[in-house]
Amino acid sequence: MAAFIARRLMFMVVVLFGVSILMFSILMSFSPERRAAAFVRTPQQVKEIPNLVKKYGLDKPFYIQYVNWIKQISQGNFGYSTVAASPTLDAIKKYFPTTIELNLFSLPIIITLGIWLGTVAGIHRDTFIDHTTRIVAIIGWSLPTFLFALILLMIFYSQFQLFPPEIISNHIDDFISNNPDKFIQYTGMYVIDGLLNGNFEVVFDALKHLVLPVVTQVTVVIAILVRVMRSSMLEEISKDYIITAKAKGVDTHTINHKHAKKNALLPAITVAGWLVALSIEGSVAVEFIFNRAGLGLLLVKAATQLDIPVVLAISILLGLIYVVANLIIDVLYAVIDPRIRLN
Amino acid sequence: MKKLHFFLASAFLCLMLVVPAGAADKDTIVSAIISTIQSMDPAKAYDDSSANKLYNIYDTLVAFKKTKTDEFEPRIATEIPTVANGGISKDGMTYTFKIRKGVKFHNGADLTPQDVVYSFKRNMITDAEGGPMALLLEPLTGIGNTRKDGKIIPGIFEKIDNSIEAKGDTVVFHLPKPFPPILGILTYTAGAILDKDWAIANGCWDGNIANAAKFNGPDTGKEPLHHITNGTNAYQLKKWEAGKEMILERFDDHWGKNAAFKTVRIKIIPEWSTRKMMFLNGDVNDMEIDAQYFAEMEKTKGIKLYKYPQLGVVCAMFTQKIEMTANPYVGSGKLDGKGIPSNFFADKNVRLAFAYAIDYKAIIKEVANGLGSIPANPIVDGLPYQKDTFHPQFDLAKVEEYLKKAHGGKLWKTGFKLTLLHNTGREIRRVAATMMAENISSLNPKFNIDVQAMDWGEYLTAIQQHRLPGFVVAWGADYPDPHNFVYPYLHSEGFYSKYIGYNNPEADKLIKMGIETASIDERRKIYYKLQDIWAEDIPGVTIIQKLGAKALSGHINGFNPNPMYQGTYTFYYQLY
Amino acid sequence: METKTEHPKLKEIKFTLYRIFRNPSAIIGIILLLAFTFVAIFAPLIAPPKYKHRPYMMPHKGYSMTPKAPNKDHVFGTTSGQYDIFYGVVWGTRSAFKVGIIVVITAFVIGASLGIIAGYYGGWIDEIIMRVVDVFFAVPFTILAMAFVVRFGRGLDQIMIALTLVVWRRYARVMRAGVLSVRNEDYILAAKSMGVTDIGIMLRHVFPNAVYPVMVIAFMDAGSIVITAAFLSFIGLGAPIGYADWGQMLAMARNYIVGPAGEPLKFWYTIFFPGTAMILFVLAWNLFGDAIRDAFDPKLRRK
Repeated sequence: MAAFIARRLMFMVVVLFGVSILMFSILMSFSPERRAAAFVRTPQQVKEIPNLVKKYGLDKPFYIQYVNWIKQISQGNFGYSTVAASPTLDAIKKYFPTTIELNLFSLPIIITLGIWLGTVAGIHRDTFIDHTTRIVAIIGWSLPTFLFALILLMIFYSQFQLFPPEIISNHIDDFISNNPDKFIQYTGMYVIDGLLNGNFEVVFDALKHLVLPVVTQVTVVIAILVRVMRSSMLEEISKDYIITAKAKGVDTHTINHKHAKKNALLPAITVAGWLVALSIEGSVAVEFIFNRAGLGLLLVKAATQLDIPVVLAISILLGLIYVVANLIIDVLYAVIDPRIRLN
Repeated sequence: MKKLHFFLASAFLCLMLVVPAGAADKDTIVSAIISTIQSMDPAKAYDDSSANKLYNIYDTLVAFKKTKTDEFEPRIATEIPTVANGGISKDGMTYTFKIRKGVKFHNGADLTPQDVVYSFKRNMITDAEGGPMALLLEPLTGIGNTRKDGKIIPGIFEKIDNSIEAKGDTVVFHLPKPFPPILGILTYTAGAILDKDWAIANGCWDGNIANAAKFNGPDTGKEPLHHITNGTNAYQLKKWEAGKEMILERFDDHWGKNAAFKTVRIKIIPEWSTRKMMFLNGDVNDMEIDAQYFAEMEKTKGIKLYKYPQLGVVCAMFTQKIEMTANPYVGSGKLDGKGIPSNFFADKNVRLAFAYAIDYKAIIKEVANGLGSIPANPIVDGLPYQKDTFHPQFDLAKVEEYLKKAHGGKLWKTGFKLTLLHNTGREIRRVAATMMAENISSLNPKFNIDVQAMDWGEYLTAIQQHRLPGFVVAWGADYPDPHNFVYPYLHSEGFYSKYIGYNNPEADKLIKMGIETASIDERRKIYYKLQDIWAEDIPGVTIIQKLGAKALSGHINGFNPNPMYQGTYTFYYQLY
Repeated sequence: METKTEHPKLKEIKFTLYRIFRNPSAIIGIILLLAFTFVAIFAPLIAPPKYKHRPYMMPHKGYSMTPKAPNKDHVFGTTSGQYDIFYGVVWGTRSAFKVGIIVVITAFVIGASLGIIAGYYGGWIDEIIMRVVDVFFAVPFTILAMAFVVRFGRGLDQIMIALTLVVWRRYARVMRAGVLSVRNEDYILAAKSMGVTDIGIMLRHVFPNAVYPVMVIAFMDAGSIVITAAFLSFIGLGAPIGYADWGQMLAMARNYIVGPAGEPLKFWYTIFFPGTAMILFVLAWNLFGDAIRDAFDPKLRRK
């Protein structure tokens, strides 16, 4: 097992190194002037472009820039972000908790609901329940996130004034910044900080702001899991042991939910890493519409304004999360299913 | 188990439903802006988002009087210097400001004339990349920069040091040459007054001119005052989470009238629909609106809407000497029906034809929803010395006539292919380019014009490389003087004119005379002549002078629309 | 030999078709797809282009930013900029097919070939190819696509290139897994011993037996790629304004999704028509893909 994990860790480093080269070469293949222009806001400043190119060494050969960049990163310097008006790493530290918080709520819902729906659809294959579940899931998947989010906002905020956009209400925000001693920001995630501080007003307020984003995200992402779980369930209940058990007269409900479901979960775990990636991606559009200052919002702004340090740093961070998530999943899988280790 | 979960979740939801969606706080203004506040350092901040916040935190010597751009009100100065009161010398080269007494900084320190002198010197010495300091360096030192090709210009710091001094209760500016619009420039945040001791303690220039070079051109983000402030104005910075929000709080020891609203919360909300919903729900009290949504907002009750002219102009520019190497916008690069040559727009007939192909009235009416007017030339309405000159009107017959004359009649026979460009997210610019393309293409099947959008950075880079045959751009005033408009559009070194390859020695000469002349009558003659040159040469064509538009919640009064400031600007301390 | 295999094959196809058509959601999917194909093929007749050389540019009357409700001249109304929504929806069908199919086919060719090569040869070739795939996989889909689009510039062609460069990774991985499962089958070993060339084996024996899971994914991708393209358009990295593309049409109408105070649904048509077209299109491919999976999956089909 230790050797297995060590090998996977090695592999992780190789992949992250590859990601850095991939992203760096995509974004650094712009002309030096073009990259310098990211620092420029008004026509008045354009004459600075040649100076900026020289100052930041943007015209140096690729490998020199890459090595310099790696050196900077190893010192924790990810460059200066113009869209966040602060060092990139600071910006990510500030924006990241918002994204984590959103996914902390949506992922468990996606997983429990997705597995349940998939199981039910699988058991009742080709029945009304199956078709409805699948079609509803696929419609959710087919909905452009931004459109769905705006429509939700229109109904539940504009019309009924129930669930506001953004992360937290103004008066709560004031309270938090006025009372740094009474309300300690441990994580930057309001729900968790609220619970840790025993302040339920903050918790409720943060939850109120989370309802629509979570609904959006669940609706859009859940289809994948439903589909995987359904086909895995189909495969499992068609296996001999289940058929035998059924033939022997064991209660169908027990077989399906106790035995088949348990085994069907195994293949579903393989998509868990993908699910995490999808979920984080889903946050991009969600954060943009609900104006939640998370990584997704930062990324959209950065990509459209060519804020290269941010795009690079976020891709590498998400790459890291993805690789680590997969590592954990692989290890889990190896623990559950010893055959894997033999490969 | 599962049922219990479900029950808990529903109970939770119900609980949340009964909690009302945060009632609007009457002592707070929530302001929604679109782009990131870049910097709180007056030597760096040059974007509207930053400048507007600085205006509320720092004071300048003088400011524009409410809605006026040609009248000033004293701020840190106690009176506006004029020739009559002796504040301006007869030759227009010495300006004396009496400094207000009893002014306190946010940290409690008293403001002295020494602070004023230090502030100007420090800001000019710092001269951060992409910052606004050229605005002050040009009039005060005669040189628009502290660096050339990345190296410090020898003697520049001595010039800065000699340009301003404290004399008793006054501060005196010594200009190398007259510079009539300087009072307008002194209203800008580049002239924000800092507390000398505080600034030095926080890593700004130490006050010794010999050390100036060490403090010049700091790295972006490393400017010492990037995220801290200590001004004398009615609001102080309470919290700034860059890219997210900023909170300003009333400064109770302000030298003037205290601000009426205790807190100002500035949020960045890029998506219009979200912004609008929040405004209509009362969660946002102050925002800029685009012209296209003005009419729909007018129907809303209980809000205040403002529209007011802007000192700015949108122009179509035509490059007379296009850089042809590896240029995807010029087709074959020859006048063979499949492209255009480098000098395509050097023929005035072609420029006129393109200018006649824009339906200016339709742009004003349909795209800007009536929020704008057609300026005759870059010296727009509201600037001194403005006069009407020839401006083409939409006329397809004229387009045909000029295109038939163009390039000795060859153009009409062979046809051409080119791409017009505009930057993304700017509807007026896109429509103007589309109009030229569609109207001209409709005249002759051999005319083939594409329209393409570019993001801002790419656009500026391509303009600077002389690669765009025709493009639509805008210019907004740094200060309300024609010099700020004729230079970029008509001077051979000006921002747009240089990159379209426009070079008229007479215009260069007139522009230099215009800014170095103190006499109003003389200047009028010069700028009239420059406007005639624009109409005669047609280096580009003016499309629209927009109105700014702003929406405020109904309970907020006291907003003064000023043509120098777009809809994003709010002087919060004027509101009540 | 040929005639002998002919008969069971026909039987197989019949059975497959039976499986597909037994499934009502598959029938919905197929009908929808046929309808879209019809619209795409006959687009020039349904909505004759105004600019012959640029049929994908939607015609517009006037320039007003405010959309206009459906009327006699514009049955679906006009969107911001007075572009005809009906025309956009019709020609947008072509764009959707173009994006979906070209991206999927190109990515399929790239991904499947690399996957076969990696799986068949194994060893260091496999190692190198799969590590590259891993690197591509480590960056989330949309983010990698955004980076490529930022690099290549705006426009539908650029989006297609960018998406191809992202989508292939999955095909490579799934294909390789499929190849690994058949690599040591008897018929492959037999072909090898008979001296069939590697390329011959890969094309005739490995590919047909390993391709089905990739095909299922590809069918579904043909739909969902359109959504990603739409999102790129929405954040301003997409097709030019006025281009008949559903995503771009949603982007053009983005500021009118929420109507003025008091009439929140005033501009419903700007979103409803292109939005419905898009959802149905993606739905069609997904239902179809699902049905194909059910029908072809050797583990499930006979049960």
